[in-house]
Amino acid sequence: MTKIPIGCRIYSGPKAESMEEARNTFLKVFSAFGYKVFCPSTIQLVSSCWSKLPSTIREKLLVLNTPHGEAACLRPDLTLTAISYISSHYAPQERPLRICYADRIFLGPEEPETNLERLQLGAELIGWDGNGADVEVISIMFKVLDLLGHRDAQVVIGDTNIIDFMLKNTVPNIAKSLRDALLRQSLAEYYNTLEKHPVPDIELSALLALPTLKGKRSILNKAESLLPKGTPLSDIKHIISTLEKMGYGERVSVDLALSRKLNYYSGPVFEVYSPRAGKLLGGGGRYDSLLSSYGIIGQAIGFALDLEEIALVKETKIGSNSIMIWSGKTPPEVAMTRADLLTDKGFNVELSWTENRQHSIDLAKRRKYKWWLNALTSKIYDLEEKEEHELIEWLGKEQETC
Amino acid sequence: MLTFALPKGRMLQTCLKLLEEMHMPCKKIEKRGRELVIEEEQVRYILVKPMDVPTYVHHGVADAAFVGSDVIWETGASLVEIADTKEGLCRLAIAGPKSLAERFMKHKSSLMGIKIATKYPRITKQYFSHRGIQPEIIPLKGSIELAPILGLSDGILDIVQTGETLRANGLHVLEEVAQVSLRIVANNKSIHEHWDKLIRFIEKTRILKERKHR
Repeated sequence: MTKIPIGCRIYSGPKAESMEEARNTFLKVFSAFGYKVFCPSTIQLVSSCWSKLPSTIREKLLVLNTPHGEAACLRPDLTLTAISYISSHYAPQERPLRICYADRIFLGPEEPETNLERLQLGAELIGWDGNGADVEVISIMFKVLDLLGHRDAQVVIGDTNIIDFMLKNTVPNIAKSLRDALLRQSLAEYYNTLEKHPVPDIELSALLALPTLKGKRSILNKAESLLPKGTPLSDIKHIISTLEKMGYGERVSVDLALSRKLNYYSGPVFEVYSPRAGKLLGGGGRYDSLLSSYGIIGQAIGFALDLEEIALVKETKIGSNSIMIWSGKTPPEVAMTRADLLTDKGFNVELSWTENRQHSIDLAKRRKYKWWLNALTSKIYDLEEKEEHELIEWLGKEQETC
Repeated sequence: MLTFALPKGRMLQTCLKLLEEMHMPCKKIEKRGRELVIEEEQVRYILVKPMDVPTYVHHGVADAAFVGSDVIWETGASLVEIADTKEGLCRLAIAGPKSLAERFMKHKSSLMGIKIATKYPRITKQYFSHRGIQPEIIPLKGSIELAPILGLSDGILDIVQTGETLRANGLHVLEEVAQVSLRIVANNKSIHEHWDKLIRFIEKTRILKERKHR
């Protein structure tokens, strides 16, 4: 048996096809909106990234020494890599910059997971102020998810500024405990902290209500009546109402206590999920303070989706578009001409060079292909319906159906 | 349909009592045979080993569950802790013979390499690491108290309720690691998808707590 390291995976067959389709669709759609594809090095210098990495990532780095004697690590995060690159390779007047990527990240596993590598799809819009940026990124993401068959994917939006505002008058150590509890997603600890530590009544009712303010848009009206005057709800309201106008109203909800694990977010944040997947598909948000740590002034918004989770739910329907071409005793160039014709029309083909007709048909069935073509006679067989057609006539009908 | 994981074993009765108090449908589960999946009205209950509960929720197989805070810490699963029921109260503690107590009173260097037998290797490693001590961890599945008596370890890290088992075996609590209670947890995705159902648990837990305090 050929073993692979614990925490690594090999993809093949329909799963790999589905992942490749997701990857290509993602990059194609974002590229069409002016996002430049970014392909960073897999190996990075520890000295270049160490000071910018949060401790939660530092302790999980997969480190190595290069043959040149440099202390290096496998790329642990794509956003940090992109920002670091942009800060040193682009002049300020070139912003806003848009980048997208489909690549792997490598980190020690987060228990109880064992995976050492994850495949991410992501996009970043760097250096544009205003809500337009949030709406742009989220709506293009919806477009990609729709194309990949995730028409039921939902986005939950929060805003770290709301949590900051709510805690600004709270005693610092209590505020820290409450913030940490929200980051750890422990509402139990959040409420235990409020029980144990005295908080003025005027703050208490709003702090008790905060984690319960989740749901559809109407929850924002409830928030206005429960939260103190001046709570910064305008950004989240604007994003939601714009997405509603674009037809995504049913797929957007609010969570005013939403905190993303990476602590570099500093504004609206969001998470994406599909009712058909067990885990979140991904998430993102604004991260102005991360930019300033690299000397870039302005705002940025970005997100990452887990390619494996996306592909897990939507697997490519195999076979319906695939044709086995049996060369039989025809010269290879004839079979190749048929293959060219079909691939040009968008079909997937596999050439079968065996002289045994039945072996070729059996292989096509095993592969779950719907179609089998005899290159010599130019007749195509529907292996499910057991019908025979002239190739040219069949192509005409197929094109019409398309 | 909401899928709810329940821990088999001694905490199951407490969970059923809580479900009843929260007006959740649970008649079928009280009359169950050997089935591990029980559906009642709009809820599917799955019965799993306590240590496996976070795994089912983490992977989204269960939307929510009852689970001890010790088990959440030990598995390290990424979950949303939606409420503390304040039931099943006990504590995680380091215990050992009297002779070990002296080492705990000296400088931490005297604890380097201390042998600790436990069902909680992850918690033990984290707890001692935070104090700058590297312990030798001996993972055991049960009867932890035996380990220091027979010389397998210097001490233990385990759940302590009344302390009677410890006393009966000549052991003493040397340090308290954490308070433990039964929590209601939810999957990261389910918290958004089933919030309208899950919020009931927060509200009803609060009502039950207030009723207890009166």
